[in-house]
Amino acid sequence: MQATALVTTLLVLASALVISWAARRRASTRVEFYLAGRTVSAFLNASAVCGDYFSAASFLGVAGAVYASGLDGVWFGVGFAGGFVPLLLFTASPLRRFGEYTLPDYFAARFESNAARLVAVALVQIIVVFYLAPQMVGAGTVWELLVGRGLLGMNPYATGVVVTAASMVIFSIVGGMRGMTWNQALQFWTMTSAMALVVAFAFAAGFSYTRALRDLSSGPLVNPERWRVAELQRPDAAGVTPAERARAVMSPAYWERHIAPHLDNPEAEVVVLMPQSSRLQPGPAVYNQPGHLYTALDHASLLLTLILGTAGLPHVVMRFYTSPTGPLARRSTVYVVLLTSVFYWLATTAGIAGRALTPQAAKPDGVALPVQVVDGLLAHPDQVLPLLAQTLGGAVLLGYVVAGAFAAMFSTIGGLLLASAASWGHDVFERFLRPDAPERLRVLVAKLALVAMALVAMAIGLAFPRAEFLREFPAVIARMVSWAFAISASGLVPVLIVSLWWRGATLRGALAGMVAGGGTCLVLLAANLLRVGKAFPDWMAGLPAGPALPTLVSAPLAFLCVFLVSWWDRKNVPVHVDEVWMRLHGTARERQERLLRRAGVQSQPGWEPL
Amino acid sequence: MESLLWNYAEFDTPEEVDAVFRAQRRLSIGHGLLFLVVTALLPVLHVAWPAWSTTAVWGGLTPAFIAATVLYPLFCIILAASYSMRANRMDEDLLGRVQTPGRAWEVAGEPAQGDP
Repeated sequence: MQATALVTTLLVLASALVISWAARRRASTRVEFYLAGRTVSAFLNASAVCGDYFSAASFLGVAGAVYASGLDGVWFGVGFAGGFVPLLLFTASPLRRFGEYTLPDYFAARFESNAARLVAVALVQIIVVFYLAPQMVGAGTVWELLVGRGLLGMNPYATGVVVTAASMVIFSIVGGMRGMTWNQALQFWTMTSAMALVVAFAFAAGFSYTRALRDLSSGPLVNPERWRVAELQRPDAAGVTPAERARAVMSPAYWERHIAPHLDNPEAEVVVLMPQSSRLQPGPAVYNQPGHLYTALDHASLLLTLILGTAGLPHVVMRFYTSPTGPLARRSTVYVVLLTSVFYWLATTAGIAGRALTPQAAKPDGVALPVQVVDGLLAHPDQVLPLLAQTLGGAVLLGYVVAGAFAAMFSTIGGLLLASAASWGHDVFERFLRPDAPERLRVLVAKLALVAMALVAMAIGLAFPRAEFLREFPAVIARMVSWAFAISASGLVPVLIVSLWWRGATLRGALAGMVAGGGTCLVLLAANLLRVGKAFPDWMAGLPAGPALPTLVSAPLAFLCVFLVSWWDRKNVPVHVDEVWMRLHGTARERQERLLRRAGVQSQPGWEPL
Repeated sequence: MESLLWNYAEFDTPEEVDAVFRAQRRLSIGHGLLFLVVTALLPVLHVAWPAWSTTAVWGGLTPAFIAATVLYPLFCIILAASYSMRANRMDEDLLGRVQTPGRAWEVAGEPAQGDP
C-alpha cells in the first residue's frame, strides 16, 4: 500500500512540476504572475476555482461528515456549493470589471484610502492563516495515514508538512498563476474522478442508496467516542452508566476482547460506540434526520457562514480577476455551481456507501491502512474514503484516492500562498514601501513573499497542537476551515457587497463594518475556543453559549455598521464615486478589449488589460 | 488596421451606467431574496414540520434528505444559470455604443445618424 501511495503522490508532484515548467515563461510580469494575464477561459477557470476551493476538508472531510452524522454532515457540502450563488449575484462581475489585483486593492480604490487597504490586508492575512493551518495539518495527517513513511529523519507527519510546503513554493514560483490555473484544473479533475470511481465501485458492489439509508436509519445513530474508564462507569441522573449504554449497542465479542480488560483501571482511556443524542429534539439522533451536529441556531449559523463566506475568500476572489470579462466571470461561476453540486453529491454518496459497506470490510484483520476501527466503525471518519477505496478497488484505487487527496491539498495551498503573496507584495510593498519599484523587482518581491508565507505555513503545520485539537474537534480540518469562512463572512463580505451596490457607502462606514464584523467574529471564535478548552475566565462562565459559528451575530452587525455609519457620514461620500461606478458597472472597456482581441490586436501602450 | 481600430471608442455615459446598475441591482436582489428564502426555509422546516425530516418517502429518503442532496443543489444551478443569462443580456441591451471619427455616437447594431 505504501509503495502505491508513494508512487501516485510522486506522479501528482511530477505532473504539477511539468505544468509549472511549461508555464514558466509566462510568469515574468505581475499581471501574468498574479492573474495569468486575465485570459483564462470560463470552463478552465471554473475547474481551477473548484481545485482552489476543494481542500482536504472537501475531499476527505465531507464524506467523513456524512459517514459520521448523516443528514447533518450533508449540510457542509450543501453550504460549500451554495456559497457560489451570492458570489455570482453580487460580486463576481463588478469585481472583475473593476480590474485590480486583490481585494484590498478594490477597497483602497473604492474609498481612496490606504487605511481601508491595510484593514483589508489584515483580514485577508488572518483568513489565509486560518485556512492554511488546517491544510498543513491535513497534509501531514494524510501523509502519515497514506504514505506512512518519514524522509530525512523526520516523522511521517512532519515529512508531509515539509514536502507539501516545499512543493508548493517550487510550483507557484515557477509557474505563477498560469501554471497554478492549469495545475488546479488538473487537480480538480483528479479528485473528482477519484471520488466518482469510488462511488461507481460502491454501486458495482451492490450498494443501494435508498436501501442503505433505510437500514442506517432504522435505529439510533451510534459513533465511536473516547472515554476515561472512571467517567464511563459513573451513573447519570437515571442511574444508567455510559458503559451500559455503550454495551447495549456494541457486539459482546468486541466488548469482551477490547473494552472489558481495561475496566479495572479508572484512569485508562477506551474508545466505545455510544448512541448519539439529537440536539433538535429529546431522544436519539437518527442517521437520515437532522439534529446530530446542530441545533436550529447552529444550522442557520453554519449555512450563513458557508454561503456568505465564500465571496470573501482571497484565493477564490483572485481567481475571478483572471477572467477576461465580467460576463465570462459570471459564466465561470455558473459552471462552478454545477461542478461543486456534482462533486458534493458524489462526496455525500461516498459517505453513505462508506457507512453501509465498511462495517463488514473494516474488521481489524482485513484492513491494511493504519486506521482505528471500533466494532466496525471508524474512529476517525475522515478516513472513510481511503478505506472504502481500498476495500472496493484494492491498492490501485487506493493509490488514485491518495493522488486525489494530495491534489486537493496542493491546489488549495497553492492558491492561498499566491493570494497571500499578492497581498504582501502588491498591497504592502508596491503601495507603501517602493511605489517606484521596477516590474522585475515587483515580481521578485512577490516570489519572496510567497516563500515567506510557505515558511510560515510550514511552521504552523509543525507547531500545531494536533493532539489537543483533535480531542476537542474530531473533524478539525473542516472546523478550522469554517472559522476562515466565518471571518470572511463577517469582516469582508458585508462591506464588499454594500460598497459594490450602494453609492452611499463611505470610508468610515466601510472601516466600521470591517472592524466591527471581523473583530466581533474573532472575539466570539476565541471565546468559543476558550469555552471548549475549559479556559473560560470565571466572570464569563455564566454567559450563554452562542452558536458554534458566530456569523449569525457578526455578519448582520457588519451590515448594520456599514449602513448606519455611512448614513451618519453621508456628507463624505467619495467624490470620485461616479468614476468608480463606471468601472464597476459599465462595459465600455471590456467591449473595446473584445473588439481589439477579435481583430488580433493584443495591446497598445498605455492600455494594459485591466 | 490597428490605428483605425483604436479610433473606434466604445463608451458609456454615466446616465447609462446608472440605469444598468439599477436594473442589475434589482435583478441581483430579486434572485438574492429568492435564494435567501429557500435557504432559510430548510432549517426552519426541520423545526416547524417534523414530518419533513422523519417521513420516509422512498427507502430511507425523507423529504429533508431529498431537499438537501438533490433539490437544493438543483435550485442553485437553475437560479445561477437564469441569473447569469438575464444579467448578461441586460448588459448587452442597455449598454454598447461606439464613437467613430467624424460620425455621431451610435448604438452598436443600429444604423448611425446619416446612414442610409
